[in-house]
Amino acid sequence: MSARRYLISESILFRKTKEEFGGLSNMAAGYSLFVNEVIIPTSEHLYQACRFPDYPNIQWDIINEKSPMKAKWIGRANIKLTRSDWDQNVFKIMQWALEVKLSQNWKTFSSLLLSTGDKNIVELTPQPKIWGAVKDGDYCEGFNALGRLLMYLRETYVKPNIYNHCVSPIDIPNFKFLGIPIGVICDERENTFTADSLPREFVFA
Amino acid sequence: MWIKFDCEKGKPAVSRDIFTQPLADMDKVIQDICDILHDYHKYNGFKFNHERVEKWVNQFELKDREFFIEEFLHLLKQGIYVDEMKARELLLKSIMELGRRFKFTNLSDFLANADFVNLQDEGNSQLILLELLDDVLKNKYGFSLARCGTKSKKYVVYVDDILATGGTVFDDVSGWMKKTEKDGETNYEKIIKGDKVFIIELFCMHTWGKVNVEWRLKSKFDEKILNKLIYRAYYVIENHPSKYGQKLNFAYPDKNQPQIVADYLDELPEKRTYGMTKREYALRNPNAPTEEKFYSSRTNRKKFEDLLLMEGLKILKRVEELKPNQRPMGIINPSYQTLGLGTLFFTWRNISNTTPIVFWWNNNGWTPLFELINRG
Repeated sequence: MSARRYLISESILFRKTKEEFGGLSNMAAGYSLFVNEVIIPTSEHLYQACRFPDYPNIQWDIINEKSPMKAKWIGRANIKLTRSDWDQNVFKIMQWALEVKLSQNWKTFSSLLLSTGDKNIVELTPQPKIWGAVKDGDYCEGFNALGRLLMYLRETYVKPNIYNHCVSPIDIPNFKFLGIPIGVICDERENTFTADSLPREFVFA
Repeated sequence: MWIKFDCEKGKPAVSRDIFTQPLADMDKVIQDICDILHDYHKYNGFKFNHERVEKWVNQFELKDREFFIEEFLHLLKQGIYVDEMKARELLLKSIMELGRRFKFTNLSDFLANADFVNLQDEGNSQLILLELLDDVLKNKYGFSLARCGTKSKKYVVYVDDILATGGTVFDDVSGWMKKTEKDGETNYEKIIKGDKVFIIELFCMHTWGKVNVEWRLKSKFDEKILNKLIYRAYYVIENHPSKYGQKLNFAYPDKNQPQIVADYLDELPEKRTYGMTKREYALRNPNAPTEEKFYSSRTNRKKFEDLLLMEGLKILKRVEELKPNQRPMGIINPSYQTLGLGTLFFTWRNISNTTPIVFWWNNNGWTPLFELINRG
C-alpha cells in the first residue's frame, strides 16, 4: 500500500469530531453499533475490542468506557495481548467495522458520506500515521487508510444507494466478541430479511 | 436410607443437617410451594392447592420428581413470585421513589406532574396494574390516579409486570413517541428536549430485552433516544447472552445436550420464509455463570434446566400445528433460532408465556401448574 498526495482544495479533511465532517472520525459519537447483542458507542470502540478476541473482559472494559479516546488507551494498555495476526488483518477489521457502522446508521452516515461529493476524504493527522495524512502546504500526504476506506464505502454503497442489510463477518480465525464468534449482522427491524449479505471486496487485501 | 451427595459441593445435596433431619418431605415441599403461590389467579376463583402441584409434578418421571419440586421451591424462595400484596407494596414504593428522585417534597406534587400512560389493549396487564395502583393510593392517601397530570404531564410513567423480549414495550413506547401533542411537537421531540421524562416501571425486566428495546428505538428514531428512557425493575433477570458476568437467573440449558436438541434447533428454519438468527445463543456455555447464585448448585442448575427442556420438547412433539414463536422454554421472537426465553418469574395476576411451557401448557395431555389467561 502506497502513500498518496491529496490536493487540499479537492479534499474533505476531518480531524476533530465536533467539526463539520467530524462524523467521519471513528471517535464520533452518534453512530452506535450493535454487535453480539451489545450496543457499542463508536466504531473506535469496536475496532479496539477486535484486538482482544481471547479477552472478553478487556473487550467489555473497552466498550463500557464512554470516551472513545479512553477506550483506545485501554487498548494500548493491553497491547501485548493483541491477537497475533493483528497487523495482517487490521485493515480488514477496520473495513468491516465501518461497514457495520454504515449499515446500522444508514440514514445519518450515508448522508454524511454523500455530502462529501466526489472529493477525497482525508483524515488529518499531525504525525505521519497509516490511517491518515499530514498537511504539507497545499497538499496532504500519507497512507490515509481510513479515508480510503470511507471513500470505498461512499462509492460502493452510498452513491448507488445500496443499503447493505446484512454485514458478513470477515474470514479470519478467532473473530470473536465477548466470547461469541461474530456472525452475520443484520438489520432485524423486519422479519422478512434473509441472512444474505452483499459480496465484499477488501480495499486493502 | 440413601442420601444424595453433591459432588460439586462435597456435601449432601440437601439443605439440611443429615444427622438431625429426614430427607425432603415431598408433602412439606408442596405445601411450601402452595404457600408462596397462594393467591395465583385467586381473583379468577383458581385455587393453588396440594393436589394441583402434586398432579403437575407427577407428570415428570418418578426419579426426578423430588429433586424437581425441591429445586423449584428453592427458586421460588428467591423472590421470583410476586403476590398481590407484594405488587401493591412495589407499586407504592416505586412512585414514592420516583417522587424523591425528581425532587418532589410530597407525593401529591409528583402525581400532579405525572402521566401514568395506558397504552395497552384492555385485558392486558397495564390497565390492571394501574387500577391496582389507584386502589393503593385511595386506601393509603385518599386520592387517586385521577389527580395525576393536573399541573403538567412531564413525568410519563409506563407500568407493566414484565419486560421479556422487549417487543411489547417497544411497540407501546414507539407508538406513544410518534404521537403529536397539541403544540405540534411529537412526544419523541419532547423526550429529547427534556420536556418529558419517560419512566418504565416494571416488576421484572430481562437485561437482553432491555437492550433490544434501546436498539430498536434507536433504529426507529435516532441515536439521541439512547439512554433517554429510565428503566426500573424490582427483579432483574440477567439473561443477556454475551454481557460479562450475567447471573443467568433463568432457565438456559447448556451446550451438553443429546442430539435431539441440536436436531430441533436445526429444523426450526424449515418452512419459514424468513431468516433465523441467534442460533449461537441457543445454549449456554457449561461454565456459565462464573458464580452460581441462583440455583442451589451448578449441578442442580443443569438438572433442572434439562428437565424443563426435555419435558417441553416432549410436549411440543405432540402438537400438530405449532406457532412459529412456540418453543420448549417459552415464547420467543419467531426469527430467533433458540429454545425460548426461559423466564423464571411469576406474578399473582398471570404467568408470562415466556416461561418454560411445562408451567403453562394446557393441552396435548399436559396439565399445567399455572392456568393462563389470553395466552398460549
